[in-house]
Amino acid sequence: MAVLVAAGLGGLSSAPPAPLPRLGPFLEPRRGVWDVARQAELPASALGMIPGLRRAVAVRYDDRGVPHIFAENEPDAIRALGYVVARDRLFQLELQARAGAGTLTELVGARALPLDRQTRGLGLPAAAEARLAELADSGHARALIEAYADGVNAWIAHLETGGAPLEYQLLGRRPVRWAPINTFHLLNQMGWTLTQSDLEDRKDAAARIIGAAAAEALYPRNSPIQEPLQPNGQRRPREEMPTLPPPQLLAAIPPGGGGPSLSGACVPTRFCGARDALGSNNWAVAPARSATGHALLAGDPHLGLSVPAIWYEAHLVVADSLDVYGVTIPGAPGVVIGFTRDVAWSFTNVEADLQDRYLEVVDDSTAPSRYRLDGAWRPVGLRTERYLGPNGQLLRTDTVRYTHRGPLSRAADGRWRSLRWTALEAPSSVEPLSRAPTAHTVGEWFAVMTGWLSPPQNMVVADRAGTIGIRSTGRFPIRPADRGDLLQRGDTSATDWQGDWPVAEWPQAINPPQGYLASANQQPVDPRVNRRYLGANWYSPWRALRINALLRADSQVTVDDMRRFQTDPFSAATERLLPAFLAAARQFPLHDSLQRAAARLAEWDGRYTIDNPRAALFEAAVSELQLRLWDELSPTNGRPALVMVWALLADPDNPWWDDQRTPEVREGRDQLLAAALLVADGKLQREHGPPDAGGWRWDRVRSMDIYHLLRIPALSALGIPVQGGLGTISPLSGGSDFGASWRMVVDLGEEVRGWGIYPGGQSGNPASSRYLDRLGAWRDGQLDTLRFPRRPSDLARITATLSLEPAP
Amino acid sequence: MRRLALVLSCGVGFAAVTWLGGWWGALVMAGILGAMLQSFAPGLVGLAAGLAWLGMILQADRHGSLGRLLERLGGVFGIPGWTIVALAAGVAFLTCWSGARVGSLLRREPRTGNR
Repeated sequence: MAVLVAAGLGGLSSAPPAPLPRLGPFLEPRRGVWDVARQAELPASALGMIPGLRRAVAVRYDDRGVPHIFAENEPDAIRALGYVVARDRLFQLELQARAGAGTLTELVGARALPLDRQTRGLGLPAAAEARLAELADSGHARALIEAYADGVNAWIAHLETGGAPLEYQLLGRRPVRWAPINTFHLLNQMGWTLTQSDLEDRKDAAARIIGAAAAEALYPRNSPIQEPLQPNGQRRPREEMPTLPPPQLLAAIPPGGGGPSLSGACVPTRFCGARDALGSNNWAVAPARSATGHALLAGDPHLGLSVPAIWYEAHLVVADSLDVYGVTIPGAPGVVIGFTRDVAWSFTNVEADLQDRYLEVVDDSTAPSRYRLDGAWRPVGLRTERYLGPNGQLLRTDTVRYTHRGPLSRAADGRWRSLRWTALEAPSSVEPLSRAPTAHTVGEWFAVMTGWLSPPQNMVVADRAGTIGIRSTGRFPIRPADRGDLLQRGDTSATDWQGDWPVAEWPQAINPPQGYLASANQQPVDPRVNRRYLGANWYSPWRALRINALLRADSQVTVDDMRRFQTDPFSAATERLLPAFLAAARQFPLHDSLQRAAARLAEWDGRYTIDNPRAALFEAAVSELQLRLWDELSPTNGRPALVMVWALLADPDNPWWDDQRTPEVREGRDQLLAAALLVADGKLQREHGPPDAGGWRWDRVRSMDIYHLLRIPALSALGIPVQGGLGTISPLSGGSDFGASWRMVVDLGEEVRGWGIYPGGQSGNPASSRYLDRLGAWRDGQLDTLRFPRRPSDLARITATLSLEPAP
Repeated sequence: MRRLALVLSCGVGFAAVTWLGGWWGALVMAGILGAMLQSFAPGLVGLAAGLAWLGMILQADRHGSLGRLLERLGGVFGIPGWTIVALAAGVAFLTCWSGARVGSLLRREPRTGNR
């Protein structure tokens, strides 16, 4: 009996049935899961040893768990940053780096194989290796990424005698050492998140169904509403209603509604048809329009949210050379968004078209070794990718092929296509990122950041002298046909890129007469100002319209105004679409149900507040309208931007309004709008009860789910009520986990002051009081005061100290 | 009284061995105790180990971190959090009881063979 029990326990401790962890090691009190509780809170004082550290570093944690790092040289500050980030976010560090390296299978097993194959098939690990090889051995950037690795590895070494973070315990793994290349894996992963595009496929698939002219109009090169970040001299948005050619219906619509699927037209990892639910914002106000008389700056980058959060707050001080506060991404050797004693900055994504796909002529349709270019065969480059499991076993081997443009892959339709993508070619952004905090003025800051080429960002900057500036910074390719939204021929070099936009042409402005600058992922420059192709199918400009409207209307902007704007509950989309629904309903006065629905919609105050009882009706009506309006296309794939609905409103008899499911009737605009409203009203009543019984409250219809990195519900923050909706400055839409990943406001007065928040907490340890401690304030749109001491002794509320010393 | 003192002192020993050698260390110590202490029932060895682990788990708490961890773990496994503490103590008991029992059998068997 005793032998059987011992054998059973031994078995459960060495090879338990999935998904259970190994019993003995997991439950053991020292290194097992209980150590997670032991490590949850920062000790009041601690000592750490880091190999390579030149001088002692003092770290003071404030009452928000933010480390203030006081070092005597920059590499030491970065070593300390690596150490404190690893101390709080070790599993996140490894997971994100593995995602960029395509080695997730080594951590979580074969279930990650599809993701790893995609990552390696895109050429991301190969690009990271190339970036690392390009760095000079004695260069500044290499010194920083190696210093960061020293810090992370010092913490991992510290863990060897104790336990590991909870996720490792659940997976039965141990942390692996951090390699300097991981920084590039991480940055590449960000590049993929921010620059992937399915534009060519989307247009190509649509053109095969509805004709090239209609596809061209639905995914247009220019936004029908122009509110660019580079002011165009207009005092209001410039509207240019396009004429939408009718769909040609080249392919049959299957019975049961819904058009033919645009197979392969939507990259599954990124927001199919949900672009109106996404978006980052930043803006700056000149002293003349601020209540404080100083420049003010606000930024709220929106990304897919996770627990722990994407960002980690830190303050780095090196006497006489560096004093920067802000947020870093675990794995990045420096502050990405933040402020110094002189300047502040924030980013939004440019959303430019940075990927082109070329249809290649190859010598073998299954395993090509050559491709045709300008009448001659060229060898295909080959790279073998091996995927290993957690115990080192070989799971699979792939051959990734390359043309001179980039990775070559076979599409679902059997055609071989190569991908050219700026992210695979751009030099490291570590250097400009590390130099940015040394700038003292907007001009100096822009000069340093000219070296930032990928992923392109709309960078808003303000300085203490009152200068404000904005610039779309990055590498923007010049195409021979001046467009990149169509599949290109690969058998000729005439279709290859012909250089990059010169810096002088990048969309930009400094101290404009209007007294403010703003970006919200909109088309950055009015095509009347610069016609060169930068992208197409731009985000609907709702957020840009609202931010500009708020800033135009307020000539005495305060810090608190900036904070309120970030969660403003009004939407420019509502202003433009709501009247159309109400006007359509008036065309059918005898339809009682419709009139009741319209009356309910008319009661709406247009605000997406969490207790609002009518926002849900508008949201549902818009969703139903899009399903009916774009029924020639698939309901889920390739849906045009919402602004195209607005553009069609001026053309009530356009054939697009016709519902394909009713061939005997030809609907017009008003019939479709009325039908969408009626169906939405009925659906809400079925799913959420009577209109005034409380079930229609906005927070009961829509809420935010922020999942843990391993998508374990018990470690996540789910069902968070959030103010915001379709097209609001902080948008929220069903099926999306995107949101404001960091909100910051900076007042650039005599003493620079900052306020900020992100969803989650500094610690990645689920047992820590700092795991989700900021979530409530973030949900409510509040900002914390950011402590910005010059010296350790200036920090009033120290909760923990860490002394870092050179390892012997 | 003597038994209680023995259980407590064994518990301290189990805590030290677990701290230094992990759960395998506890198993080995139980086996040795089982072989050495004929008058000490394997059940008491298991009890000492269970109490030792329980004490070490409670000692891991830092300003309520243990409660938060149990709440999360309970959610992960779909069981009340406290049952994981009970499971840990139970695993320690069973591991060390079986180790002590096997240890006592190993000591007895050679004697039988000599007869």
